[in-house]
Amino acid sequence: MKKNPAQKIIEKIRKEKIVPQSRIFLNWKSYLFWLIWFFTLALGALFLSFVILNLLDIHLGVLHQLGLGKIFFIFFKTAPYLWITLVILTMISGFLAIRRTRRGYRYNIIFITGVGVLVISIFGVIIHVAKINRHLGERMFVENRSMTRNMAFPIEGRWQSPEDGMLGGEVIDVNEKIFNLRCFDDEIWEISYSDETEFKIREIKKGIMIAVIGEKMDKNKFRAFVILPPPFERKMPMR
Amino acid sequence: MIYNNSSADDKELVKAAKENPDEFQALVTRYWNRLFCYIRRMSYFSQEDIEDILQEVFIKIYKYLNDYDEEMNFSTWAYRITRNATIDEIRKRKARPATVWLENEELTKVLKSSLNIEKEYVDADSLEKIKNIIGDMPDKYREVLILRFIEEKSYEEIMDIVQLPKGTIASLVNRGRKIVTDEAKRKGII
Repeated sequence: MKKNPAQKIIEKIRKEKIVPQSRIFLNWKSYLFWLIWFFTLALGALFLSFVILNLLDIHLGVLHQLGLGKIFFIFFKTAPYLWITLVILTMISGFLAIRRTRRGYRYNIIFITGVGVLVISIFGVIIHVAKINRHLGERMFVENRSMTRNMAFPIEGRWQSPEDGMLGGEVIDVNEKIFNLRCFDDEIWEISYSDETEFKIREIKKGIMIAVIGEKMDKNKFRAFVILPPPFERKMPMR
Repeated sequence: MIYNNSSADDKELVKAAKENPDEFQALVTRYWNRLFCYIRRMSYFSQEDIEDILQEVFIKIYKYLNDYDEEMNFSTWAYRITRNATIDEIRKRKARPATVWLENEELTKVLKSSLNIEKEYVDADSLEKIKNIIGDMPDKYREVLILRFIEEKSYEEIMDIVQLPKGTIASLVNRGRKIVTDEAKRKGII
């Protein structure tokens, strides 16, 4: 008599001693993709914190002196495009990772993107408030005189715009109403100031980092209207 | 307790099968014919081939019992495993189904649901033409049309079977229906 298929299957299960596999074994790939998702969002949060760091140097004094239009122009010229791109890339990677999890196909694209944006934003702000981005940035990019520095921190580029009235760097020499400033691009500028110059720092002395708002007078000569503490406190690169 | 041929629901049977493989027999018996027809509709395989595939499918289902998510119907999960095994087999043989195995009433179901016609009787010639239209259409559309209109699965269930987002399923069904409608018009069926 021909056996029914169900009996044949049970016999095979018994004969080959087949047992249901453990849930962890069956789902390791899904767990791995959840882990990848977590790491991509953590990276995204770090990159976002670099974006925040690069953007938060718009001092009210700057707004007053330069005007909103010029500020926007400088901002777009020197926006942290590298970090913005990396944040977007981590979002996309996170989305692809979650889609590969066990029930990833069920999640709506708007839902996944929304969760990604929320997690990256919350942790990005926490990293910024905890100043982790600042320390990491100093260690990874600023202390190296590499090509990547200006890409990583265009905030410095923003303070290398004498034509737009913004200069930043290290004070290397101080005289009466005049001091020399070595900018981030190593160029030396002679900065003059007067009693009308607004000081947001206690005093000008050799070796400190400052940011100056004013106007270009001549080649490598600049008149200061406002002198500010630097938006990004770093040591000048080693010579 | 042996649930064979009992009225216990699938979830109880799954639990029991994890403890005792004999309990699995009831699930095999319950789903054998449905999954057999499903494979036949998806592929051109012979009865023997389908039985071999199904045997492997049920062994796999048994091995993966711990992976079964109770939020989903057992039937949906079984369809998913069957679908994947059938697609693997089609790929292994490197051939697309040359024809589809659909009964006349199944073809009529697709026709009616695609064209929204109320006609009870569809002549043999039209059915043959519809069979060709379904046979010629891209796999992704044929698959969802079969699941939607012949297997009568909901969009949620199809989503879990083919593992694609619900929106994608809805658009595949709509495009599939449009293909059937356009071709039916072109061939003078409607």
